[in-house]
Amino acid sequence: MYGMINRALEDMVLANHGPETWRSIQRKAGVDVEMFVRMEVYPDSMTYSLVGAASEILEKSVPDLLRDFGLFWVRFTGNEGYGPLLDEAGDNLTEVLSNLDEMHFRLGTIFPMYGAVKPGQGMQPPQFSCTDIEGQSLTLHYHSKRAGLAPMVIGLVEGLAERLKCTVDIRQLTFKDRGDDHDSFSVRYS
Amino acid sequence: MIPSPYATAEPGNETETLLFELFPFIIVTDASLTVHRWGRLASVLAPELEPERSLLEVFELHGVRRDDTRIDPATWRSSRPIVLKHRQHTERVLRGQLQFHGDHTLYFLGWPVVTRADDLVSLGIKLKEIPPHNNLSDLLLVLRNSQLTLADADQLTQKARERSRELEALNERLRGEAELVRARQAAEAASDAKSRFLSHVSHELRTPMNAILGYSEMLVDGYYGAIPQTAASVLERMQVNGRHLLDLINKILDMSVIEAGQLTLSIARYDFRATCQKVVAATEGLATQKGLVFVTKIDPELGEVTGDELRVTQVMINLIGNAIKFTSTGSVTVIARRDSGNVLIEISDTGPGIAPQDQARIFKDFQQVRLPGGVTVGAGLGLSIASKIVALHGGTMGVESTIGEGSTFRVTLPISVPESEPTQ
Repeated sequence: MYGMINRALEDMVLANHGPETWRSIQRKAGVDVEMFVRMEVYPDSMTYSLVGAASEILEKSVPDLLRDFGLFWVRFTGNEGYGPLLDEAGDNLTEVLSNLDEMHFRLGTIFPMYGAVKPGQGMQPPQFSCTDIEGQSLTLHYHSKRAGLAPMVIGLVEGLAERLKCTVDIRQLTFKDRGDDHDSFSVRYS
Repeated sequence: MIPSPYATAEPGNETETLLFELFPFIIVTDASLTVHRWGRLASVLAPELEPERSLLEVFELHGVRRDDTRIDPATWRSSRPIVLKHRQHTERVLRGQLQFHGDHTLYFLGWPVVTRADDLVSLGIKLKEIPPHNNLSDLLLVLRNSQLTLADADQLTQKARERSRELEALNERLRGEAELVRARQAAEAASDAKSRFLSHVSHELRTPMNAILGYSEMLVDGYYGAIPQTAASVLERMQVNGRHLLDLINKILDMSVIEAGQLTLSIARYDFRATCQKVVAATEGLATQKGLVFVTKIDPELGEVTGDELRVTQVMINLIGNAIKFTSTGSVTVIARRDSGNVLIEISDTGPGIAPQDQARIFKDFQQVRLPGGVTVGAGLGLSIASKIVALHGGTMGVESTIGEGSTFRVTLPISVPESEPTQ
């Protein structure tokens, strides 16, 4: 994953718990990186180790932590100067969620290792699609080669809703880790 | 047909409709640069655009000759880059080209020059209004990535500099510590060599000195027959000076043993009162010979103590000897009593006293007592050795003195002294 992900996790911990806690998380995860370079690609295992260690030290379940991180990620990327890119995706949650794949495709044409242009060689971004669109409700389908990140999707949708200044109610309908084909979510906003 | 988000102005014909859709910043003029039509985003950037108004009133035109107010279709090359800079809002800049359609219609086809997506947003233009064929939003994204990468590189450079400074400081400290270690080792080696030398020389001197004193004493005692009176007084002076020299040699030997860390106490139980009485007996005669009053207050309850009797005797003789030596008139008083878990020995005299600035100095090696008038006496070793012996017993030694009134040396020794390791 890009260093930006790890940097965002670090920022979230620093903002809420301070530098000593982050150092403890790094030590527990066995990650001896003084500074994550945002455009550098780091092994996925490093991010998973950090999330696992953070979950233990912050005494928060991994799903809850990922959900918080999803929400924080939208704020983080907005502050990092990517806000207009998010805005480009649409004016309401239906438009934005429907355009997520398009946004990932565009990122793949720009980020050297994102992989949308060279399948199998890059970051292998997730795929999103929307069905059952009715007014301000829809079903969001999430496909990813990475396991266990569905709770982060919930946080991401909540973060996007916050950016679009609307309230959202999101519930997971299907669970890949329980044998379903993929994860899906019921999204209602107002 | 889905309405186009890009072209909402008033194109002149179907061709222009397509151009307006693909180039929302389009401005249509004639060869004299009189404005006729423009795209929607051009009007967002420059609301001053009006039909029949000169383009040059709204924008500075860069890329043509300064005095050109008309573009000649016969000579114009559309490959020349053109920059339009808003006259009032100079941050609003468009870059593109001027393209003739026939001889009379001139199209400006261009895009804003921005380096951050936020710059575009601040102009009132959203990224999604830029048609996908144009890579402006991608360029802004790439620029943003580059900016973040540069910021990270800068941060990494700062961190590398900090680490470098820390390493430099650490190296400096290690170099300093190594210097100190070397200097200490050199000093210790020099000190050891000096102690060994002094010890060796002292031994070598003491042996013949004892022989000289022994034989001279035998001569005085008449062992080798009667000697003339004149020779007797010479022999006596030889003995006095010989004993003085032997005393000095013994002190130097003591110092070298102490400095070499080899002085150990021979700890044993002994009767402290009896020791005091022996010391008094040995020194009292010297005081009375000088006409001094010799006062002793030895507590009969002093009892037994543990310690090195010989060394304690040495300390007391040194202190009492000094008191007698430096006192011309008056008295020398020796007090010994118990004080909590210690025995306390006080030797007072009515001598010249010791100046405050000298009172700490006199316990150091080779620091002689300075008498009034600047005269110095002794080798400056006796008090130093005495204080070290007292310290080895776990005791203390100090002095109170007033110039012209006298001095009191006070020694405390613990009643029970544990077996000692060699001094280090």
